[in-house]
Amino acid sequence: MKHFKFLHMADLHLDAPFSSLSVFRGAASERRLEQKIIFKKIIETAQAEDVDAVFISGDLFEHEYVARSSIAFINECFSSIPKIRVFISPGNHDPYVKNSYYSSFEWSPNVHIFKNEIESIYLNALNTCIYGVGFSDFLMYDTKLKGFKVDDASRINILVTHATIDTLSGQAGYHTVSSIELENSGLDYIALGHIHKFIPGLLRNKCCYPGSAAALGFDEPGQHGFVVGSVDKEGADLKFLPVDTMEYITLEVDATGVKNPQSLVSKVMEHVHTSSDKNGIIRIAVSGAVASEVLDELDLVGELLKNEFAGRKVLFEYQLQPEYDYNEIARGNDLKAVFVKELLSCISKEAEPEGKKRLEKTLYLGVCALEGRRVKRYET
Amino acid sequence: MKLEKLIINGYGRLTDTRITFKNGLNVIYGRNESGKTTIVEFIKAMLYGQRKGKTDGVTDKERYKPWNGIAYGGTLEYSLKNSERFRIWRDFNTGQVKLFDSQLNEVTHRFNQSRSGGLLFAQEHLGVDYELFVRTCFVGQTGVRLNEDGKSILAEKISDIAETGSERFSYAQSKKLLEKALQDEVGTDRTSGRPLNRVNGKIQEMELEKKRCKDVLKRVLELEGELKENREQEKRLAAEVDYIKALMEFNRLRDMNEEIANGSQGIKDLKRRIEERTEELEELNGNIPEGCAIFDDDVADNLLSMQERVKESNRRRILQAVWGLAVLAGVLAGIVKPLYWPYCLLLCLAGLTGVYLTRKSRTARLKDEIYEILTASGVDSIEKYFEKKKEIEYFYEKRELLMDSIKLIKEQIAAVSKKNIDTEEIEKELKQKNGQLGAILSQLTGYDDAGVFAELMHKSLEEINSFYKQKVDNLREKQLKLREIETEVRVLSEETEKLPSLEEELALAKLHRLELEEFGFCIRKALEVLNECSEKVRRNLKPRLAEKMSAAAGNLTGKYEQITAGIDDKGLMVSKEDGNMIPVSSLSGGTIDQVYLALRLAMTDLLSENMEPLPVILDEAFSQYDDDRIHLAANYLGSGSSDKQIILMTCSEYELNTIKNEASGSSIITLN
Repeated sequence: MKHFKFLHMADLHLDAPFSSLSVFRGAASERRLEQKIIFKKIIETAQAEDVDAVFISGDLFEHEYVARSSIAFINECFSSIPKIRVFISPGNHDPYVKNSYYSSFEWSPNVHIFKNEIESIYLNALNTCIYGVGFSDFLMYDTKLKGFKVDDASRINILVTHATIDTLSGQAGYHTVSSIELENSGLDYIALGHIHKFIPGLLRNKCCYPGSAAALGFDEPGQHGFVVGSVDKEGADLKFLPVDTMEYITLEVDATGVKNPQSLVSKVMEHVHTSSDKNGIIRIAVSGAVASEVLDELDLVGELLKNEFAGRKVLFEYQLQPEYDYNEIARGNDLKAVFVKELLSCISKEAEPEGKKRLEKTLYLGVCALEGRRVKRYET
Repeated sequence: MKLEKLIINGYGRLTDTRITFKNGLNVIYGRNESGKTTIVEFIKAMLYGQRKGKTDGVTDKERYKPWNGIAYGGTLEYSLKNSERFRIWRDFNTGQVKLFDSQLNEVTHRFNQSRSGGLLFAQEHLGVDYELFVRTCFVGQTGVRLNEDGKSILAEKISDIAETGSERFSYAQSKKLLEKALQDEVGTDRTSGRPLNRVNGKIQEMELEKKRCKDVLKRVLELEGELKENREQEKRLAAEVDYIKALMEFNRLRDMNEEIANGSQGIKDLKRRIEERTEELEELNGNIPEGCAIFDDDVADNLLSMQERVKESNRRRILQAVWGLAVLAGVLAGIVKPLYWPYCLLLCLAGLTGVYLTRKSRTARLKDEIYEILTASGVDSIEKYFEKKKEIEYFYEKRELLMDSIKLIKEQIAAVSKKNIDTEEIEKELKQKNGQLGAILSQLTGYDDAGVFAELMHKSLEEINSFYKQKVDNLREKQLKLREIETEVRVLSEETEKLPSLEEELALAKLHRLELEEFGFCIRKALEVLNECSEKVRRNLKPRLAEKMSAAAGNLTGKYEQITAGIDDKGLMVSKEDGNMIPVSSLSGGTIDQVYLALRLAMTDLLSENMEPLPVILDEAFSQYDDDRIHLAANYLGSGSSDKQIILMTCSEYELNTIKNEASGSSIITLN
């Protein structure tokens, strides 16, 4: 039996705002342009690999922000592969709502967009049936896939949807589907989207998340791309192809014991020189207990680091603590000791990490004031 | 901490001085300028290093340079409450410092260094920095000899200590610093132009712009829907127009077909007409005589020419004869004698006759030719020849006309016959058109007015034409409308392209606001906790401090047994014998000194509860005391301080003797 060859991508989030890049002039717009280039490359790969179909498992674009010109661009790309069928299952960021581009735009004839009801397209020549169901709102609490079974198990059966498999952790409202039901549904391949990390080999290799085609932020480190695969009644064979040239990198620098701004800069540079990547966007998270004068001079540290990293995209995140032995201070009887004792007690009672962090800052600021030093805001 | 032993190799006026301290009260007695204050300064410098700053224009290093000898430094031994014992060695010339443990192992490296390079062992062992050590442990001469201004300064210090547990950490000052930070670095609802106010303004502006852009995006999406709808309507109208066009074409073909059907009858008529014409032609051919070539235009022209030449020849013959004769007569008359004129005349006549005869024979030939032609034409005169010629030409013309007519009819028959052949094609086309009409009609079904089109086939040509015109107009209008929407969509969608970057800027501003709010929250929380703690310290410290102070003050003064550490604008309040509460600042200088000493003693007691106990060093602290109070103080310090190390410097022999009497267990060190 002939196998069915496909390209599976998801979660491009075209025209998404890139808040983490907004501190760099023009970087976010540049990234949005890169998303389009990436999309074009994917479509060109579909052509070069001569696939039978392209599956887009949701969140192709950002309904709230997408420009019409971007939609026109996507459609032009689709038109450039007229012989390849494109199946799109709308996700929570690009739901098939009234007055969405999915419903109103005049898409290329080779494009099929699934709605909120399970729909099947039978490709006779390939003996393959493509099923799909998409979001019709920004949240989807119920699934139409409950008890789903394929119509004819002798065909190659594929499902395209934007969903979270119940074995993976996920929030409610984002189309949770039962792994057991899917496994027993008779499907040969399930093209999923929603999780931004490449997860192959799910449901006995019948299911895969290709991850976001282009990384969207520091919480999406590593390589990003799409999947080219083939499926027949024997199973699926998948190949991950990275396409995103830019990587989000987080470097953690432990600055514990640093006594002055210059030493902090040197410490950061030691870490960065070991990082080989020059194209990535680097976030340097500096943490640890440092001399209070370092905290007082964080502006200077910022300036020095800016000079060191001229021309590169580097973000600094300070999670620094003053180098105080609060427990020692708390042993006294004076106001400072009582203040420290009180706040240490509040911190230990606080369950939320954010709340703890805030109280730690409160403690530091209070101690600054009690020591007669200037109380200054420093950005973390 | 207890001071155990000090060896001064050289410090100010002192050289090679060794002092061993005990627990309890240690009295260092010496006259003025004997080096008591130098010992105090030596202790401070050994523990914390010499101060870098200048006092009265001189640094400590310059001030305490040994008067004699070159050694500048010494050792100081101290022990902690956990029984650990340490020895400090310093050379103030080089700034070198070393610390040894009880086994005399050097442990200098175990301790951190300050920014200025000082070794921070004292901070670590005593738990207090230089400032606090000096302010808590030392009661110096300058601290007790007060003028009126000084009194209130001292009272303020006492209040600070009572309020915050330390005179160094002022609640009021801390509060002020926090409030200033809140005001300058964040801002409040009541401020303007502060960071939070600015960022809020910016966010508000951007939110408005975002809302506007979102509305535009909403409109673009609506228009996109309208575009789709209008495109469908355009398609439908185009289909309607196509249908009507197809219908018109269908009708044309149908008419043509009918016409051809009618054309078959016409051929028969035409053929009959050909037959008639042919008969007529044959009849005409019969009327045309044989040898009609004699009536050709060439022959006719020749005949006319010959007739002309005959006439001309006759006329010339006569003229030539008359003129010849006249000329000859003239010539002869001129040259010949009249006698010979008759002979000449005869000669002329003979010549003329010859010419005449020659001419006459040429004319006769022409006439013969004319006669031959006329005879051949069957006529007897030239006039009749031409009459007959005209008649023949008429026949020819008529024949031509008849032949043309026959040809034309034949062509008509051929054309009509050809049309008969195409009828099949037309039938085919008609079928096709009909199919096309059906197909278009099926496209149109589903619309409300689909029936109108089905009926249209039966309408008149005028009605169809008018309907077609109306639909074409509708289509044009629709296309125009589409262009309008497309233009609006294009213009509006450009505006929405800034939405992502607007969102990014907004996120950045909101992050900034969050940081400011968080900072504000932390400051407010710090203020709140600080306030609570201050209350707590007062609440906790006050009774205990008051108790300890009351005991000490009562013993020191023998008078004010109850000291209320009540803090208000007046500072520390003291209970008088009559029960009245008076501010401590209203007491005499000596009493304030005693209250202050009582407070220091109470403070070190309190601090010692949780920290390393600190020695109390009193440098001429009783200088303002009267004899009674010196007794009281000596008794109090000697009796109650066995667990506390007190080092008292005095130049007063009376004080020394009193202590010897009142506190017999005291250690007395005399400086020379």
